[in-house]
Amino acid sequence: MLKTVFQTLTFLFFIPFLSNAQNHTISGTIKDARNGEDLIGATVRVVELKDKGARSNTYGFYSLTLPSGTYTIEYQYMGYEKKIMKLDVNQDVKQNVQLSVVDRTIKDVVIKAVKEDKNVTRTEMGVIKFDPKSIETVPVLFGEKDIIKTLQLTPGVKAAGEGQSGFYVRGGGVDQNLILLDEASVYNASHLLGFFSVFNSDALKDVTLYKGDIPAEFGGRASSVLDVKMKDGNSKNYSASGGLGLISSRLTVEGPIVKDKGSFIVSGRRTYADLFLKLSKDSLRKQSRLYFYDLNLKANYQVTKKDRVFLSGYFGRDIFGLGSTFGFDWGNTTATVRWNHEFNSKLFSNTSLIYSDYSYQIKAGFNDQEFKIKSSIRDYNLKQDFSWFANSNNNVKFGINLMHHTFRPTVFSGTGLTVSDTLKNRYALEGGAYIQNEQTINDKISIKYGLRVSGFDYIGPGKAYTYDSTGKVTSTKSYENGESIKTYWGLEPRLSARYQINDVSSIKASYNRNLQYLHLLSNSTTSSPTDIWVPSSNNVKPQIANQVALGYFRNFKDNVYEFSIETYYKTLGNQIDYKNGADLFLNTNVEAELEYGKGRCYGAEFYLHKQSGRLTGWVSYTLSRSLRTFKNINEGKEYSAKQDRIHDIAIVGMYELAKKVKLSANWVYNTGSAVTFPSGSYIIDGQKVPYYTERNGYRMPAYHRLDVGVTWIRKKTERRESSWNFSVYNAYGRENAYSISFQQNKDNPNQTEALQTSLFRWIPSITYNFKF
Amino acid sequence: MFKNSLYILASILFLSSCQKVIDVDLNDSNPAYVIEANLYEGTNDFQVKITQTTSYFGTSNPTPINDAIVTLIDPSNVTHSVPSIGNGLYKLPSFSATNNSKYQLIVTAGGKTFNAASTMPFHTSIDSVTYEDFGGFGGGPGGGGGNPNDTYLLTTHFQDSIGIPNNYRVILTRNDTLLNKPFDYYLFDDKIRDGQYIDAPIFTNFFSEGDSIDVELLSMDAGVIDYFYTLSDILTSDANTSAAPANPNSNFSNGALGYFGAFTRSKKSIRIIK
Repeated sequence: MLKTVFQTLTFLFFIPFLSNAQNHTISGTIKDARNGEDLIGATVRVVELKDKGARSNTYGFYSLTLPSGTYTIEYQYMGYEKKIMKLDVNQDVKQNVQLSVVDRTIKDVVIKAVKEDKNVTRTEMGVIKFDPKSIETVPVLFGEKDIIKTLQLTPGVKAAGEGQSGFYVRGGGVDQNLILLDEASVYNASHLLGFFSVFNSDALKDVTLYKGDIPAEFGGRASSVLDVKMKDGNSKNYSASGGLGLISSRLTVEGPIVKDKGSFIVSGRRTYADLFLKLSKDSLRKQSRLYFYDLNLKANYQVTKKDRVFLSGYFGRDIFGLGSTFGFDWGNTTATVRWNHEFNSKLFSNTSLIYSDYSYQIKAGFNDQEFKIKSSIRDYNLKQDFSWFANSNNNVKFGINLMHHTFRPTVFSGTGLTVSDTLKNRYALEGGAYIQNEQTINDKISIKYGLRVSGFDYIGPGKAYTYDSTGKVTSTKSYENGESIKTYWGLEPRLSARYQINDVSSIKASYNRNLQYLHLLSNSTTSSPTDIWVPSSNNVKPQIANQVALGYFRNFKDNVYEFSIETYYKTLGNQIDYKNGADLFLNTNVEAELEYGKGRCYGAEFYLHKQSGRLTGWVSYTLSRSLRTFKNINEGKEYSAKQDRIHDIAIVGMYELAKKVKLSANWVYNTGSAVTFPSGSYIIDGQKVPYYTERNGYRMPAYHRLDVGVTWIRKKTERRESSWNFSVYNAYGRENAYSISFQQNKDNPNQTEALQTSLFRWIPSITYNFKF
Repeated sequence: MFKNSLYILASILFLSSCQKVIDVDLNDSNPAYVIEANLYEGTNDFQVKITQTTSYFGTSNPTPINDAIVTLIDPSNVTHSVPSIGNGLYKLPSFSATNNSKYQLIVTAGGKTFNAASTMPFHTSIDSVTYEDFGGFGGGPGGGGGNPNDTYLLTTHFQDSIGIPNNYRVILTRNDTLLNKPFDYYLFDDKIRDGQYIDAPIFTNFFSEGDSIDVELLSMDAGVIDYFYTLSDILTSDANTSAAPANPNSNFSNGALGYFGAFTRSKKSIRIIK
């Protein structure tokens, strides 16, 4: 029965590809003429056939199948000069293309950069895409340009707190974002208590955030995918670039291995806030170490005309220490080896072997005593993806992956202590297979349909526990090496459709379902290096998200302005929260401390983006709710999640005052986070105790802030460039509440008062950037 | 220790943070009943205190409840009425309680009935209390006001009973002053040391030469220690460290706050001399 259904489905799926006219294929790569970087998502258009076209993939490869004939082909990419070619397509054509940046500071030309209409014409929705270069001048905290902080200024994305690099997407949790750096999972994307992200913008090429309509190739998190791709390195010339700032400095070196055949890039960043501590009179501060560093490495080489290999890695670590008695460090390591192969002009393959590790370590010691706390999560992932450019109307992607996880829970060791055996490593396998087709039905309608099948196997060696409602262990069972303890699997359909109303407007709809098998347990409200990832198990079920979205897209003034409204409704199943009084730190039975419930999120996102001209930028407004229901929390009544901020506004503007002077500003406003405050008090055991009646029943004060910046380009030639950037974070010094706590009044101990703590007012920064 | 280190880190980083007192508009909730009942081993007056919650910012004391009906049920299912003596207090004079027995308390107030049960565990006795001069580690998290002379750490020694889960609380009285600040709660169990001879260093406070200290070891069941664990969490956490504050886990039914605890206790006094 199942077999018949499967065969029928397979047959139906392949119907679109059965057309059999005299067709030929144009294929090749699209690159940046200056440095040889692959251009991702560049469009290829056929002037004579309005509904035929193609886009370059992650590796710059494109393929377009057309009936025999002579065509005018347009290659274009946002911010680059359009290239038009006449091609005779009477046989398969290999056509590699290089596009040049429109550089307005050098040439005195009228803007002829491509103004894209992909907002309206592409099937996908719920996507935010950035070229890290385009957001360089947006002012940020400490002048440390940061893609995640900029994403937080777009609709549907919210910062997890003042200056935090953690983010919420469409009401989901911080741990529901799949963060990928060259395909490797980054488990903790922040440095220094979350105030910096691990992404050094200098090393990045392309950043895409999927808030909904997540392509079938991605899986593993409930709410979103942040797909970050590193630069490949300049394959034409050697060059160096970098920046000196108050908090950190950066240096990037790149160049060809063999000209036009291979290149490398090495990019490093280190903060030196602790150098200022040396100036402090306080001896504790003087002996402190406090810094982080990032190192990004990548190399690629075109082995044959059809084969290309890539090697990329990231190493980052935060180091914190107090004298010789205390040390604390944490960080991510990732490595990706990739092999691209062109089977033919229509079938492109990529094979990746990926390693990812996040760990932290705390060391303390005095006299002869020493103790250590360690924890980590480590993955090995084998991934095979195919792009099949079946014909000009169908673009198919399919593939599989298999991942092995090792979870090392918090292990405590030290002089005279024996490690408890309940804290052994835990293991799991996670896998997925997917197929997706993006199909152009006619010049008005296009659809994208895909299915991902994912599975998770929690495996031995290890012990599985069951708990009663009070968290007591009721049974224990031991498992052998590789023996399955608990298996889950599920179907994740992904659908979207676009209807083009006219040249400048369209409506789109999507549905998608995502499963999440790993869960983040956090010790505190803000993200902390000691947050731990745990697998789904016999107690913890996979999280499930279902999302439907509907959007209207409209461009104005020859695509200078992009406008969109997107609405969504999302349900979340098997959500995790903690029992009252749960303590997760060094807890051997964390699963006993968890509660399970559900959530729903809905909202509308308004976005107006000016893409070109002297003034660029956007206005974003999000109206949304994020609600949760847990049986044992808030008496089982629905309550607001912490990130349930109803109104969220961001205005970002960049203005070119003169050729060499750029001004920028952004202003944000949002409703305060939901928070639990007491509604009464009583005395017990001689203590005044707050009385809580409602989970998250109160609101923090509304948050708003203005940041301003100015960039002065000192020198700019074809090869050399230098600029100064000045910025002020929170320019009007708004005292935004970071936390509100309650304490006794010093003069009248019977009186309780609310104390608000604010961070960051008028934080100036200055950065010098160079390139040669 | 660990959380503190994160805050040191944060404060070093962000010298620019600022604090101010603000007005927060809190709802006045419907008052809830608060019951505090301690039953000790041996013959003692059994006392129950019943109040209602008041507004959070108010300076008034919690409202005493004098018209409740309080009943104690002993292990032989005999009911004992606990009469009001005014000011929210109820007293059963010279009640004799035995260890390894389960007691129940029933309180009826304002048309609602609240039930709790607590098992008085086996008796655990303190063998001895010792002290040691730790030099430069004065103060302790419980305060002592950072007094540089507070350099002595106390350790209590006792035999844990094997095969049964035991839960302990240590209460200290320093020179006739009960130490009952939020950070003074010293709670532990025998989960990983069942049946062992236990040497428990009391890290909550450090002491000076000449101090007289009473060390009291209370033993209680899992429901009561859970109440104290969650109570101490609420008292010592603030908005930054606690993901979602909630009321302590009471062993009373029907939404009453507070606890009914049946305790065994053992006391040793010590004076610190050089």
